[in-house]
Amino acid sequence: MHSEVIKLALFGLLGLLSAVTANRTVAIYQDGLRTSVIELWAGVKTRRDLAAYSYKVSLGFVLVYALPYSLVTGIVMIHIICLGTDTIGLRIKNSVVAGLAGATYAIGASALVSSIFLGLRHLPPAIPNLHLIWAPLAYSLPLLGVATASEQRGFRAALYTFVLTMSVWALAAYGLHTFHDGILLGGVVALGVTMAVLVALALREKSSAPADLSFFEDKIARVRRNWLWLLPIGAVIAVLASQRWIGGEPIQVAMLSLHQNYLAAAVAIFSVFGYLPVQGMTGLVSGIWNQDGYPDWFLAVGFLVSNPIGAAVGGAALMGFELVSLRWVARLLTTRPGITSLGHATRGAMDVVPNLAVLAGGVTAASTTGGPAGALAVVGLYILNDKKGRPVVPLAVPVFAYLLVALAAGVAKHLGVPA
Amino acid sequence: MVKIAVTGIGKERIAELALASGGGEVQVEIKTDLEAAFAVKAKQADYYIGACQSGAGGALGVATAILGSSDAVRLSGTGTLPDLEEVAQAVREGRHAFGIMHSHIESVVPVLVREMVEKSKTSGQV
Repeated sequence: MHSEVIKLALFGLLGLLSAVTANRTVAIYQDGLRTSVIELWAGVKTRRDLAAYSYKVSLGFVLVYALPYSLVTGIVMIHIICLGTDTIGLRIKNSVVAGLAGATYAIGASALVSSIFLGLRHLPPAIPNLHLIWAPLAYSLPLLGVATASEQRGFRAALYTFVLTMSVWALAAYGLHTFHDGILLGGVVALGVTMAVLVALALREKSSAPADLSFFEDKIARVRRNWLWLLPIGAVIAVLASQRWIGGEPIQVAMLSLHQNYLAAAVAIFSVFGYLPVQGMTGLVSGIWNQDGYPDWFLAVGFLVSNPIGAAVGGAALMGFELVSLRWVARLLTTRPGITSLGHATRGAMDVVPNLAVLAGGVTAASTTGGPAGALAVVGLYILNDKKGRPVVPLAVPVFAYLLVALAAGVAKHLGVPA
Repeated sequence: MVKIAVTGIGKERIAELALASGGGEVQVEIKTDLEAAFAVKAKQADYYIGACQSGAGGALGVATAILGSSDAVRLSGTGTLPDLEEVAQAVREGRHAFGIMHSHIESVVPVLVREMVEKSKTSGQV
């Protein structure tokens, strides 16, 4: 299975399906674009308008969010493929041409990421210290639950969940000490327990208004009608994930880079709590679904099931489950506001914890590579970006900075400058 | 009194900034995106402010579906800095729903809310 040709073919298939579904307004990856596409049917907007908006919304996401992580790990972030194919599928009117263009784009993007990643390996000492960037993130993952509680419920809740998380972690790590990486596995257990408590609390909050699902009925029917397009995409995404060729967001990609598949899967499942409300509601109000379903549980299946056939079945089954459960999700999101708040908090936590952990990792890696000047460069660039109003996503700054330090160290070594 | 419904990542901070910038002239309610969008549609709220990672999805996606893209505008996003003149202009143009990248809440919300209050005072309209 580990052949570059098969890899490119699978990325091509994902690009083709993703562009065709965007073209036929079956599925749109970008949550903000999904609801704008309704206006194409009403004649308010043209394909050119929507493609321009898609490009505008997506470009920054691809360049300063997804690309740095993909280039340093060699693992393609799904944003690079699906945001690009959103634009392609909407801009090109003919479905066949859009599909071919999408496939070409996806193959090109995958090949570019692989080439640059391989190129970086010839830039000593860029890659050898890369794992140091991600290590603090792997250790901090259980704190995602604490940060979620903090975002949603404030300091006191954060304190309680911190104590809960640390206690469960200690107990689980003790119970799992015979396993390889028992400590990290214990952290996953702690995160799971904390999130179960937060979900239970969120479900207790009820909306005062009675559920009226009539607004969603025609949209639910439209999404379900397109099952034949959607199920294969779930399968392809899971197969790509099963080979660690694709990831859903920076934390997953970082964990895959450390060969910690189950940590990547834990984060992918955690992100479902964050994205189910936004993906679910934008899908339910538009009748247009997401190629990646509720991000990123198709990927989680792939991270856990290395057999490609098993992963394909799992991915398609999860997409099928999403389609079957649409009405239930509509009821959940309209009657349980706590779930939507939990989603906001979860997405916030996915910034708070990694921002600090990757900064710590970036400083460690850069100082190992470039000495005190390396650490100075990472912290300095982080501060400058912050003071400039954060034109670069803070999560990406330490990675960019580390690459600069590695490049400088490589050049210095080449020129014989002592470190 | 300008009524603002806020939602999304950092909604509590948006509410704090809106109240601090509104000089006692604003009323803020934290809602889900669907509730906030329908509140504006039903004229129970004058404005909608949402935030997310892109300023478009979780921030504005549902509002765009409910209110239409002519009423909903993305003010900042990933990889770019917000243009504060455009922020104020969006209010003057009569838009009612605004999406912001959550990293830009601190710079955008005060300008946005002051413009809402100014518009309300000078024209009596929102």
